[in-house]
Amino acid sequence: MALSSFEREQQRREQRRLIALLAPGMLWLLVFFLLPLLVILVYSFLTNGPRGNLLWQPTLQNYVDLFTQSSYVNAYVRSLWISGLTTLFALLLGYPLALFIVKQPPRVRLVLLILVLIPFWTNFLVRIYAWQIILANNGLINTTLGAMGLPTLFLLNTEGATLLGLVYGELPFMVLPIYAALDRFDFTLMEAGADLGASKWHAFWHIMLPMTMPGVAAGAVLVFIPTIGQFVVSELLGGAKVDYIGNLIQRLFLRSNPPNWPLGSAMSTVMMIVLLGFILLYFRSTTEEDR
Amino acid sequence: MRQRFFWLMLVLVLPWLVACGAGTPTGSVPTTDASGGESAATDDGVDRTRLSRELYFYNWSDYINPEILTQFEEEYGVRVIVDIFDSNEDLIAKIRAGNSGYDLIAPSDYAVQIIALDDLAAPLDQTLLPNMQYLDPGLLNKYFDPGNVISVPYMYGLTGIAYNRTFFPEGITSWSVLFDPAQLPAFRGRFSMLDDERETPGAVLKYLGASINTTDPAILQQVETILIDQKPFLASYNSSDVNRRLASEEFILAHTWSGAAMQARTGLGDEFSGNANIAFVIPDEGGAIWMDNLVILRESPNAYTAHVFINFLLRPDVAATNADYVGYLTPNEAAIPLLSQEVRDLYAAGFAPDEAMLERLEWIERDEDTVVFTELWTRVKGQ
Repeated sequence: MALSSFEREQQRREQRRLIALLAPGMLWLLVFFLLPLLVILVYSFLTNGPRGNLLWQPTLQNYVDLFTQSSYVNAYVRSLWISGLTTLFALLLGYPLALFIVKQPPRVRLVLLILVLIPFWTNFLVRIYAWQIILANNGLINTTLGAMGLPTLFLLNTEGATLLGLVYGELPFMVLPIYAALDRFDFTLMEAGADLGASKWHAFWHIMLPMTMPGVAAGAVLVFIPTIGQFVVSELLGGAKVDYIGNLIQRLFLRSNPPNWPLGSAMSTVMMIVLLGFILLYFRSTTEEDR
Repeated sequence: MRQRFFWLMLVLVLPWLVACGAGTPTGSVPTTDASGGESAATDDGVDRTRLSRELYFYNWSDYINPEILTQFEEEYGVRVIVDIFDSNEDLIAKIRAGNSGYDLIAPSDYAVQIIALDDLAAPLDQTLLPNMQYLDPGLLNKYFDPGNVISVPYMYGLTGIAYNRTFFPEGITSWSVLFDPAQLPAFRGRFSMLDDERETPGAVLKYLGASINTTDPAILQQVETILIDQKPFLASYNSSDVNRRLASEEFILAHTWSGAAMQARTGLGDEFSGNANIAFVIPDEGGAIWMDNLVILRESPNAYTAHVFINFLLRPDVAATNADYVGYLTPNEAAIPLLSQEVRDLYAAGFAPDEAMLERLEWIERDEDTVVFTELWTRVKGQ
């Protein structure tokens, strides 16, 4: 694991070369990523006009509203909660799956990995509509239940359906980093553990999981962050009945009369700060373990 | 090899040929119409030299019959490219930014007013729109554009209740079916409300016997409570595909637009087939009326072509073909006798207003006070 100082020096040189190559990309990000973010930040301190036009009167009111009105706070809490649940379920389903794939012979492994990726060949929205067809009152599941003489269930337009859609959509993002970590993991360590008297569970908990933690953390970040801003899944599978923060922002920008871009911008800004916190946490937790 | 060369030459030469054809002052483009029938340039007063090749129309989804676009292209050689928006606010945001690339838009009533205030629309030249004579005078000169300076009615509609007669054999006459807690459990998970901060509280306001535009805090508090109490029984807030869901009987009851109900009844082109059990009603307590309009953007370089297209849409035969397909109501009086028998029957069966029903309908208006509806709606969705 430990690198010699020569190797380390070489790695640093390599990194510098990479930075030079990355410069054009960085410039691109600066103009097309950072600049729009700056615009959002500026908007969040402006006043909304009577027709949703921007008034150049600086104010903190948007931020005050956001932290004092319970429906806004609720939307944040609800988003954090469902994103956390999504991440948890994706992990519980994704880790065993990644482990199963790693344990297969190389050719089978390749096939299984391709199977994990195949859903990406179809647009996400189309796949979510497919779930509507499966879950609807007269959908696949309920017609099957009905045919068997069983009572039908309300599956679509529930928070459970939203969670299902999110976990379904994000699962590959959890599986792939964990797979990569497990692929590098030396399974003879597990045998060593067993030889020294550790039970399978014990060896997993004390050897495999800690050593694949960077993969788990990367997967968690990849799942958590896109989930927190989603609004499509809750609209199509959840029936648009409750606001997650993504729905609220989208509505303030594009649905309400008048639209309220400053408040929407303030909400986006706060969400970005929260996410930035999570990313920092991720970097903190992984860099040490990685080296 | 030789053939390929021929095609290449044809492609290179074609634009020049077309330009020449268009440049002929008599407008005698000999390619399409030899009979010299109604599409001859001289008849309709259209100066074909001034037409652009393409026209960009920013419209609602499922809101124009694709056949009439083909017909327009055949008659005038202008290709109309339709792009879709799904809310007035979406539309306004896009055109406010400038350089939208659109020539013609279809904003609803209150949005026309905002677009006028923001000075985004081109004034209409009514001398180029002789077919405006066919429009129902009762739908002209409305509050959002007195004198129709920038807008022409395109389609209008009502907001009420669509339902499946198999489940409601006695019919529906009151909003209570959607808001009375005693009635709701029977339809749990089988009905939807519009996902709209004005229409949805507006339906409750009608139920309570108030004006749809009232901002009285005490009444709005009641509205909020009723909507929150309704939520556990509601399948979804849905403004997008209620038509399909009613047709497939996923929903048996919905707060929706007359046109969505009509589409559920008659089907929509080859997208889905209709359900003969769908009915539409404006409850006794009243409902909403609204209208979408055609507006030419100030920034459009093709204003003349846009006028020609609007005038084409106002032609009774075209308006009838369009309304037959779309299912919303045509403001074109001369088009109504030309509608299909089925649609005319549905107009008579409550999908279109008669004198008595007009009394119960109210326009939703927006002003500085109506921001309270955004807040109310956020609180309903925050529960």
